[in-house]
Amino acid sequence: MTVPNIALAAALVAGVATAQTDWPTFGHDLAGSRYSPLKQIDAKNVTKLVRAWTYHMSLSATPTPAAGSSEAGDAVEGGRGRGGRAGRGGRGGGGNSEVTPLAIGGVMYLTTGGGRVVALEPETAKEIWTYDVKDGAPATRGLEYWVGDRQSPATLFFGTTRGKLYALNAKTGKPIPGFGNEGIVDMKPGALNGLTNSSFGLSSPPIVYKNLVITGAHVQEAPSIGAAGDTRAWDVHTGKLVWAFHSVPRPGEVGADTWKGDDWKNRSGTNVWGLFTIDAENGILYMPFGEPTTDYWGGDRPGKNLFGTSLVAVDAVTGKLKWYFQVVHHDTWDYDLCAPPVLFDVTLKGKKIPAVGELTKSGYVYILNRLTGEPIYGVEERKVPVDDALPGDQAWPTQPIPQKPPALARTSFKREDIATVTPELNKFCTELFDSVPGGLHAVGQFTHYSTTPSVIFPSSIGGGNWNPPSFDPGLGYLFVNTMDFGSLNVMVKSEDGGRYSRMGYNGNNRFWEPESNMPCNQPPWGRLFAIKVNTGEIAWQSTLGITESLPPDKQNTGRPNIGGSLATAGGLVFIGATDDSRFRAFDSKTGRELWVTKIDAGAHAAPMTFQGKDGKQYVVITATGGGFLGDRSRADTVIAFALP
Amino acid sequence: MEPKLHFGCLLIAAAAVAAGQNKSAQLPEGKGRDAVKTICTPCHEIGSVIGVRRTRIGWERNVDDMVSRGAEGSDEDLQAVIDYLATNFGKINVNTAAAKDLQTSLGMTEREAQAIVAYRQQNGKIKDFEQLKQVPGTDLEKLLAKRPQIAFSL
Repeated sequence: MTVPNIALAAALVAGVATAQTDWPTFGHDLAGSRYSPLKQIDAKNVTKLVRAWTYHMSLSATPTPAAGSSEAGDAVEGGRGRGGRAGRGGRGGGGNSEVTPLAIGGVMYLTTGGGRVVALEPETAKEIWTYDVKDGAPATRGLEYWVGDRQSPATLFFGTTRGKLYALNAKTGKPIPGFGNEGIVDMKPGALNGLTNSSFGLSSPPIVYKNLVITGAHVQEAPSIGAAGDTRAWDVHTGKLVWAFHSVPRPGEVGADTWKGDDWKNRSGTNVWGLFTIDAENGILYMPFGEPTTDYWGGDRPGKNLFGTSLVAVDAVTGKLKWYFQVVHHDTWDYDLCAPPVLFDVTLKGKKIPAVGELTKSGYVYILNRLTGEPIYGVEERKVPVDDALPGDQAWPTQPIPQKPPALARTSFKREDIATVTPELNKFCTELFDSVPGGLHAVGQFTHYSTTPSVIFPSSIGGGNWNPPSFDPGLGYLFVNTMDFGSLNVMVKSEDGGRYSRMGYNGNNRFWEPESNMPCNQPPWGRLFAIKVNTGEIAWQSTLGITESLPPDKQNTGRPNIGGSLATAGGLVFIGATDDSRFRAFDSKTGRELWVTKIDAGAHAAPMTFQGKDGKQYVVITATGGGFLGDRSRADTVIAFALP
Repeated sequence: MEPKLHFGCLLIAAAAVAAGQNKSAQLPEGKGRDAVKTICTPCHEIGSVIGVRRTRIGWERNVDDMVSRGAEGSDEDLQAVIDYLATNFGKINVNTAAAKDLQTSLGMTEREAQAIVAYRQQNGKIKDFEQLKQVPGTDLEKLLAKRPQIAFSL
């Protein structure tokens, strides 16, 4: 087999001792490129793809064999997916999953929505072993593989909704006795700030670097006081805590002056619930932090509130701060950073600059020098509205807006932007907008959630979301997906009268017609972009997804989407993410949609690819519907495609 | 012409009711209220839980989703949460609801409810609000007032 130079370069960046035909970590490599050198499936033959297998996460065993067609039947409306709901009480929901499976050394590993971790034969989805997680549900976005050493066997690390960190023997599926307490570390005690009733878990996979397994935190949105969102590193052999990075700086630490008095104390949120990446060569860990509690009112936290909604780089071995870049000052929009910061090189005026690209809910990609945190294409501190802030909240007067690339999602709304897609939608949305004297509250980019019903673009779920981008090193294109989607909310006083709490308006909290799920803004409603990282310009963009209920000539609206992409040396970008229950392939160079197939449910996950022992390239996507897009489809499937 | 202004007023009224009910973000009394407080509010403001109306299936799925993201409770308590939210912040699917439920949930007369059942038996699924308005024997004003509580699927 010929391995192109690009692949070799990617392998070096990744620093993972596995074959390039594998998918060894969430983002394919530690740099989060989600780029595979495999090219058996290419722009010429992608239309011939067929379903190779379907794995049902709620059942024990019995993958469905290929049906000979790539078309799946519609999920039955009102059905709960095959196997129904797993037992509640912490056992995980009805198959809901955002997992990217891993494929290493001829075995596939994943966490399931059914509360298990499984090892599969990757060519058939036949179960090799299964592990039933009894104490909470395993993280919905998956797990991390560590190759092992003389002291420890190859290990799978994953967190649970109850704050346990597990180490399983990758070969046997049994807990590793020497790690923590019989294979389990309780991450809660060190995070709870002495409180007992706080929620703490992991929803994303940890990341391994040298002898450390590094974990984020899935903590509350409210109330203000709760578990810390610190990032922590644990010894891969013993599970002993090695370092902790205080996500809310304590007195004397960098950033402490962005908090007043004791406001920092026991502050929750400010957590990496999304995905880490690592510059293996330079030993730097990149952490996308979410905003501090509470999400929509910051009256009890005046200041910039570091490291809320900031990208932070630390020494991966020590946890010591290298630099930070705050994307939203004093965030009251729930614009958590959560997408994996993708690492790549930018060639500018003949000079190579090591860079990191972060997709944001606020609708941008920030391209920074990954050694210094300096913006490569400039960032302007732009004046934003302050007069509409809630009583008691001190809005920050400016926000950092990248000069390039431009906004990748709608960032404001005016009455003339109301959708004219159908007369009915136009009528509904116009009446909705006019239902408040003077219209819904919308005063431009960074409009505040107000006591007047407000329309906020991008919505609290983006713009971008945790959507893992992909990067084609040959083209120098970064592929990102976003939605042009708004929130519709009104702020009301909390029970004790001291705070404000976010409510829906008219039984609805998105700016759309909630039965047809058609947004009230003019399309596009969801897009896929290729960003030329060497110029900061958009190379191409395409709508992503269709509105099936519209007449054929009007369907190409793009759809709300959460999930990510995969780029391959076959010149393809694979992506699900949309709420139209489809999986697609685009031409990397041109953005032309080359292939689309109906799948069992919306795939709010990010795909992966690997080469099987049979020499075939497989592309795999998890599709369970549900989630935050009001997606009514439901299934419990992981689906593999290959050429016949 | 459609009663545009009137509809606007109804929207305001509905919003005022929703906001009024929760001016202090309070949950109405009822079975399951404590379970909602115990299970949902450790992670969210109550407003973000009850700010949206959903059908019973919608609430079931939402609770399942939350469980997969860390909500904790016994099966019994989680069922109580679903029942409470479906009762107090529910939507009703006009394509599947029994006539009796259309009466109690949407304030229809027996005759109006029967008209909807007969229509869907004859014509199949009612696609959207525009089609619902065309069902003979229904009261447009009533439907408009209840629109946020009407669902056509799930």
